[in-house]
Amino acid sequence: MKASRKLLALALVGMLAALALFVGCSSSSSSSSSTSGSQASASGSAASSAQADDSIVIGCSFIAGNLNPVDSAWDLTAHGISEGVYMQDAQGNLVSRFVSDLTRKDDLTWEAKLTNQVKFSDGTDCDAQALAGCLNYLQKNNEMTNGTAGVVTFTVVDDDTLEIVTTKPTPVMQSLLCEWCNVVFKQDGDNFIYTGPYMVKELDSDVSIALEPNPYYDDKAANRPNVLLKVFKDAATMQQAFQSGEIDIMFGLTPEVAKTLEAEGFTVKAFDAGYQYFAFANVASGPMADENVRQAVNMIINRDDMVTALNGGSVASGIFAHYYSFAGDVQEKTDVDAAASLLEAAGYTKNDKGIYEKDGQPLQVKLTTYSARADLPILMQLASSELTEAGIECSTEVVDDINTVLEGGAYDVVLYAQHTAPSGEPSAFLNMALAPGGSRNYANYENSEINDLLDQMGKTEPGADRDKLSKDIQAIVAEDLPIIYLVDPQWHVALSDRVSDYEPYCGDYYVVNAQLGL
Amino acid sequence: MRKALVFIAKWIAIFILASILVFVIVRMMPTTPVEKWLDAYHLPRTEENIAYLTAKMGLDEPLIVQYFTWITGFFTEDWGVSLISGENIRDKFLTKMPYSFSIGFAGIILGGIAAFFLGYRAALHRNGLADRFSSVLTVFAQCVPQFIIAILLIYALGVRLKMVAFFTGDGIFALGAAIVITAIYCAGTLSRVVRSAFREQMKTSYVKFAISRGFSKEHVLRRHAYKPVLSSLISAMIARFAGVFGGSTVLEFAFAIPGLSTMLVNSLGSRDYTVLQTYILVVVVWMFVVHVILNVVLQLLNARGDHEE
Repeated sequence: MKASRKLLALALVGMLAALALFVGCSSSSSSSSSTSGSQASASGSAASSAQADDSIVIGCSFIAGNLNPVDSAWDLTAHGISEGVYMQDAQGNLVSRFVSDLTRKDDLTWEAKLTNQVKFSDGTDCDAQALAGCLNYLQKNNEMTNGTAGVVTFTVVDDDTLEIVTTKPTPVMQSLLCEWCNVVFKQDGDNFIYTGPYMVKELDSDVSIALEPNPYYDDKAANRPNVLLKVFKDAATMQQAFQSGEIDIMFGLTPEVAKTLEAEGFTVKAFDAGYQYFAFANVASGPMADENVRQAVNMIINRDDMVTALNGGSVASGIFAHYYSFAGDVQEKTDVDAAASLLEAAGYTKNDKGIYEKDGQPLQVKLTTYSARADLPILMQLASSELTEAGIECSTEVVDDINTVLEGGAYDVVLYAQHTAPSGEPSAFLNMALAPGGSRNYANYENSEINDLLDQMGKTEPGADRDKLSKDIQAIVAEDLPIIYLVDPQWHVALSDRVSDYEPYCGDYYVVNAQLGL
Repeated sequence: MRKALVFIAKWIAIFILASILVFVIVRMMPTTPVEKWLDAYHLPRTEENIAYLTAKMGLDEPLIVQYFTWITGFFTEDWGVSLISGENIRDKFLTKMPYSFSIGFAGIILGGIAAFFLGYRAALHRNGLADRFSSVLTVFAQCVPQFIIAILLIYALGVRLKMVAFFTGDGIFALGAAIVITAIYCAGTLSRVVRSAFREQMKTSYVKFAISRGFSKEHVLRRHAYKPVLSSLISAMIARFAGVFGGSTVLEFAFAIPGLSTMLVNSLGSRDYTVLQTYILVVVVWMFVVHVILNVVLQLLNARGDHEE
């Protein structure tokens, strides 16, 4: 038994050593991971320091991996750390703290008048030189910035003016400067300094990011509390953390969780997602290649039921969120009788089992979607039951990689979610989805009328005329149905009492905005 | 000496084979990291975008070059960077490892200790309280998923009683709870191994003879029969050590512990080849270390057992 005790003692010592290793490594690792930017301090755990200073804690499913604007621009803007040259406001308008006026000089040249009123979080001025420097850096180091107008060059004309020269003509310079990759920053050695309402206090990659107010953002900085963004990979865990009062804001609520928390007396708000729920129809092959079938499917789907099931949102009136001036004004209606007439016109008749068939073959439609957006499988099941009830044999599939399914062409209807106007303008998505060769035109859809309208849009500056072109295209799509509009969704956020006034907007893009905590 | 050389040669072969297999298998997964990255940012999979990102991630090099760059880097402590976040993989591992290691290692060791004493009591009195408790614990561990216990614990102590902050602060409660749950789930099955081993020993002639000479059963088992039992227990624990790195996914998710499992699941989702490859190799190296240490312990136990017998 003596030897046994020795072994047990050895085991206990080993266990203690493991715990000691944990304590030692975790403190050293948090130091190493929190020095990636000059804004970040290098001590302790973000979560524990946040608890000590009574930060607003936000539960989210991801945070920026690092502070480099080339890798993490989207995340940094979502966290309220960086800003685009232009940003969307809650109504979908493009606004800028950097540029007061933008004038087109010729096809490829623009002139930007600067406000010169923005400072970086280290207190230095964001002047013309700094602005041109960072935007040229991004053009050189992130090819994603070259997508809309080729390589863009920013040149300082004088203290108040920048000249912007594009390689390809674009009428939407504001939108180009609103693209997620065009953020304003200053490089100081290996560190990056930004201009957003918050700056990084401590970054613990994949775990949490502690923010403190940028004192140079505006005159309300002193009123802003610190913020901690904490990652939860499991929605149920995040819900429990919210219910136990450990987090103040919980994003990504499913309709069921939203109802549960509401019933428990918590503040739950719905906000416009900006994302749109729609369906790609395979116009190239299969049953959906028949226009009558597409029309029938479109008429059978009951979008009001979908809105009810999602506990928020509205029936889609086009492919853009309703608050954009270029949103469509299509009115989708459910009409099962009209759908039956269309199917009969297409040569389908109902068999003994109540299923439509033609030449002895039943009308089968396969619905496919993906699980990453939890609302989509709900919509798919609703559509499936309605189509089946109406006499269309329906199968459903949830896949991991939906884009591969779309690119492979082996689908009939794919339910999809996308923010269709992240830069506040419509032509990018419309070209991708409807123009020949467009990267999201999976079924090679082509319509000469739409092509003409897209060409006109490419030459028309933002305004009423351009908005009308966008609406006209969306009306044609509603007739031709390469895309079936479904729901203009609202997402849900749960808020603790101390932040119950917070109004998030633009889906998961601006999670932390300047109004948080004020 | 020859045995030791064969042992090392076997593990070198396993290492080389595993490195090649994992390198090939991660590249056979549907959807590349480039496509996943573009999808994550709602960017179109155009040829230009794909070519740019492929080059940026270093995936445009010939496969053989990629393999040797990675494997030589692994031995020179340059584990490369994550394809997705650009973070240094070695630093990332060192950050995450203590969490998973603590849960796995401490949980198994605690479970093993509990199993030894529970199994011992269960062997002494067939169908006694300890025996029944050991059976119930085993069935419980096999029937009730860990995440249910975790959720109930959080709900009771965190949500209802608000006694414990599992998700904020220094995270020590979350880690402690995960270790205890791991230990409980290990203890059930391992205690049955210990019980069986003690029962086997009770059938041996030297134990029977000692008891017939008037020594108590407890005394004989405790003083003379524990070594073969410990050997059985350690052998049963070896397999569980494979899960020390990344085997606690459910608990890490439930308690929001930022361990290796969370990183592994993220990397699988984003097809982060370099992280996945490195993870598998680290597990191979870890299992080599476990086998070396526990084989030495087993040898010591056997040597002493033979000597005493």
